[in-house]
Formats: sequence, C-alpha cells, structure tokens
Amino acid sequence: MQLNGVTIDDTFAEAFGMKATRIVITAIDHRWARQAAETMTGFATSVIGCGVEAGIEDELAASRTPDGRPGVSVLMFGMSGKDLAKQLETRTGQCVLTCPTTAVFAGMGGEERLPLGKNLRYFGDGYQISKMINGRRYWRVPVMDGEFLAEEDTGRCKAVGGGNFLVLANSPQQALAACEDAVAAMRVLSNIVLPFPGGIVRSGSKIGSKYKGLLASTNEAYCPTLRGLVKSAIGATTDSVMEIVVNGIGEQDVRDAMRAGIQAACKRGTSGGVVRISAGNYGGKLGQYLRGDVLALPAGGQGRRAVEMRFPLFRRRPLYTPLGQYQFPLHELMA
Amino acid sequence: MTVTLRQMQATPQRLDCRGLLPSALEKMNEREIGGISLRSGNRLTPLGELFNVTCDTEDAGTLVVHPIDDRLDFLGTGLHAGQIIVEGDAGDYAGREMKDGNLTVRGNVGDLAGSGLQGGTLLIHGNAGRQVGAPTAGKRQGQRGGVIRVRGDVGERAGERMRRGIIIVEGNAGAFLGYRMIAGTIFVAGQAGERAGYGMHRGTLLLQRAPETICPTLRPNGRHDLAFLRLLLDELHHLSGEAILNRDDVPEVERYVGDIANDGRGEILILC
Repeated sequence: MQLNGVTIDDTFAEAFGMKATRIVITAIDHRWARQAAETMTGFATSVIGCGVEAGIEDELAASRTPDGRPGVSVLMFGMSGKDLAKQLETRTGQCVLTCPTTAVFAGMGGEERLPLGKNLRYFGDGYQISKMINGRRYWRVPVMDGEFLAEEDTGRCKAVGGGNFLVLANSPQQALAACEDAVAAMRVLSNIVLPFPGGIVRSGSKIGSKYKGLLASTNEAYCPTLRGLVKSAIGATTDSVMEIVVNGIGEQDVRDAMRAGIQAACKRGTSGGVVRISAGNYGGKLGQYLRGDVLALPAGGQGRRAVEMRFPLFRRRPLYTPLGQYQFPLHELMA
Repeated sequence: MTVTLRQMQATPQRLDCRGLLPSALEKMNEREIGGISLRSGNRLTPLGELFNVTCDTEDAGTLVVHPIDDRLDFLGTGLHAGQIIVEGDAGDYAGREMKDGNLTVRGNVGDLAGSGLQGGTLLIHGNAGRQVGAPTAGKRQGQRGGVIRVRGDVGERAGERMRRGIIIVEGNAGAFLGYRMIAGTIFVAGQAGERAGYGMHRGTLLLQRAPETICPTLRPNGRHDLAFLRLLLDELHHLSGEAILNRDDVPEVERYVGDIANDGRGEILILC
C-alpha cells in the first residue's frame, strides 16, 4: 500500500490495556495552567521508567472549566489503578499544588475513583477547608499565594496504551519534519495523548536486552548505524526512523489518531524524504497480554528471556491470552 | 398519585401533622386517609374531620395541603421521597429531619423550619421564623445536608449548629446568623443582623453586604480572590432558580475568620 508514494507496511501496531484518568488544571491564565501541566507530565513518557504515561490533552477556555478560569486537561495512563493513583497523587502534590494560582478538578466521572485532593489536603495542616458543592467535595488548602483548590477525587477508566507507527525517512531532518506534521494533526483530537517529548520517540525499543534485568533496549533492526551489522529492517537510503506513540481512552480514539498521524506524515511524500511507514509490534511480548507461542518465538530465544524476566512466576506455564489486546493493522486503518 | 388535603376547620390548638407523607398516603384511598388520627393538644382527631381529602392519579408521590392558618406543625417531617406543596402558611418544624424529596411552602413558616434537615430541598416562598435548620431539642447538630431556600426573611439563629448543606436567604437574616455553626454554607442576599457567625466553628457565611455587627472574635482576614467562590456562586445561582447572583465576574471578598473564642476556623465572606 502506498500513500503519496510512501510505502505503508503490511503490519500492525500492537497496543495493550491500561488504566487512565483525566484531570483539569486551571490557573490565573493559560500560561500557568500549562506550566503546571507540563511540569506534571514532563517525566511521564513511559511506564517502564516513569511509572505513568501522561500528556496534555487539550487547552480549555475559561468557559469550559469548573472555576471559570483558563485551564488544560491532562490524561494519565498507568498499568494498574494502584500505579496510577500513586503517580497522580505524587505529581499533583509536587507539580500542581506548588505551581502559582493553580486549582485541580476531576476531568472524568464514573464509579471508579482516584484520590486527588483527598490526601493532598493534609498539606493544610488542619487549616484546610472542605466544601461540598453540587454533591462534590472540594478541598481548600491555604498556601502562600492564597488557596489551592482541589477536588476530592477523579474518575478512572480502562484505556489503550502503546498505539504507534514508525516514520522512516532519508534523513533525521526529514523524519522530524514528517513527525511534527503528524503530531500537529493528532493533537487536535480529544481523548488521546502523545506522551513522548514533543510527541516523538527517537529511541524505539524492543522488549528485553542482553543485559540481565533490563526490560527494554534499543530496537537494533531500525537503527541506521547498525545496518550491515544486524538483521536490519530498513533500506539502504533510510537514515532516520522516528516513532509516534499514542495512548487513548478508547480503541477508536487510538485508531483515529493513528490514521490522522499517518496521513499527515505522508503528506510530504517521497519528495519530502519520507520512505516508509511501519509500526511496532513485538510478537506479543509487549505489555501483560501474551500468548503461548511467544515462548517459542524464533527470535533467538530473546522472547523467552524477556518473558522470564518480566513474569518469573510464569516461566514454565503456557500463556493463552491473545496476542496483544489491541492490534491496529496499518492497511486496514488507511483503507 | 396526588393527594390533596384542604383544611375545612381550624383546631383549638396547633395540629401535629407528622406522618403525612406522600409515600405513606399513596398506598391509601380517601377513606383510609380520612381515618388517620392527628394530634392536636392532648386530643386525637380523624384527619377526615379537619380536611377534605381528594386523590387523583396526576402526579406520582405528591401531597398538596391547603391550610387555613399557620398552625399546621411538623409538615414534611421525615420526608424521604416525593414532594409536598403547602398552598399557604406552615407552622413550626416544617421539613424537620427531611432526608430527600421536596417541600415547598408558598406562604410563611414558623420556627425551626428544616430542623435537622439531612437531604432534599425545602423551599419557602415567604418568611421563616427563628432557628431555620437548627437542631431539634436534645440533638447536637442542626442541618446535615440538603438545601433550605427562603425567598423572604429569616429570624434569629438561622443555621444554628448546622453541620452540612446550604441555606439560601434571599431576604434579610436576624441576629446570630450561623450561631455555633459546625460547617456548611449560608448565603444571605439581604442584610444579616447582629453578631453574625457568633460561636461558629467552621463553615461559610457568604453575605451580600456586611452584617450589622461582627463579633470581635471574628478577625479581619483581608480581601481575597478565592477560586472556590466561582463554583459556589454558580451553585447558588442554580439553586436559587437564577433569581440571585447573576454575575459573570467572580468578585473579591472581604473575609473574617473565627470565631476564635470557639477555636473556630469558620469564615464570613462579604461580597465586594
């Protein structure tokens, strides 16, 4: 399949189930709301090292926020509700509470709740004030610039993490330009975030490593400087590969975002140096969804080692859960 | 089913209307309802002797009462579902210990309206007497939830020992507004009387203008721009049927804190 002369591989992106939450941060103006959100989501690219994946979903006009001030909505994704709760509380406490003029509100309803101001209120050292307004509890915590207002809790839902595609181009400049186009097209959509810096990953990884205890390592098949040394997945003229990872509330959100991103990335066509679009799938080794034959993958035993490292209890047990939970075949997406 | 009780004659003493709830009456026919005994002083009188009873199937869970004076006490006591509409004045203890539902009084009410209210909405179109939302005798807490909205004035000690919920007074309030208040929110659109917030422990008195006097134990805290105020003003605007507080800007407030004589962390907010 080709789009503007760019080849779209007959492959699929593999994604996995996550838990997600949304919060709304408001402040005296957009600059400070965004500042708090960027601080909160800065070190939140991958659950592997950051515990959570997060990003700014949207900038909200004053008329769309609970307290009538400018704001932003932030989406956070974790591998479990417990991880998400811990990260949400820590990051809200360290990055939002500390940021001048901010307030934080639930951005999601539902039965499953995550504490937001519930525990942060103790920063008030007994001077915090609770207010029940329209059936919701808010905490007013006295701080040095006035009051930090935080809603008691926010909702949590099931979500999809790890939707992705790879942009293969002739040079880093061309790959970056195409990816920037894709990011711009994807960020107008709701219910998704692109958790990596600027929405783009230059260090796509594979599961496992030759080094014991390392969960992920460089994806050598797509490294231009290893061409000729390893079994490479890139052509002779491809000198740069960049990846866009997308997390979304629903499967359809990820699907829509990938489609919009791929279309935008291909707009420059081959004349813009874009050669191929591919996607990261890891033979079912990614995330908690594995299938039995992962253990017998012909990848030099690497699959087995990775699984053993991550799931030592399952070492000798066959796993029958389906390959990935979510698959996004590129050809089907772009049809 | 809508049950309509039209009072035909007044009783020599005040009439205790406890138990007249839509949920109880809708299981009965007119004859059974007329047989309910109501206490007036030390006498029990069949309801049918005092009220003309009609039942129709229009609105489910509705009780309409047409009183001829203001001596029907305890109307809506323990209401937990449905609605009661009083087409006239109600006596004391209207909406006492209500848990849910709506009680609407189209006239005035006596003392202790919404006493110990736990939920639901008590709407009074006229004036209310003393101790709106206060605890009943022997209880430690007054209103514990729900909304009391008085479109006229309220008497002394409105919100006494209030623990949670909202009281909206669209007219003036008497002295000792929020007396020994534990928590919750009281809004007064008119003039609050002397010693507002006396003995308050926590809670918020939101006033359109400064009360007649403020106790010295409520200390000036300065002018503030509080983020939560927008939420509260929106809620009050919504609860008041958009009759009050129709303002887009969030004003600064003059804040007093206390009552420090009661180890209090309550506040009086005066809209600037």
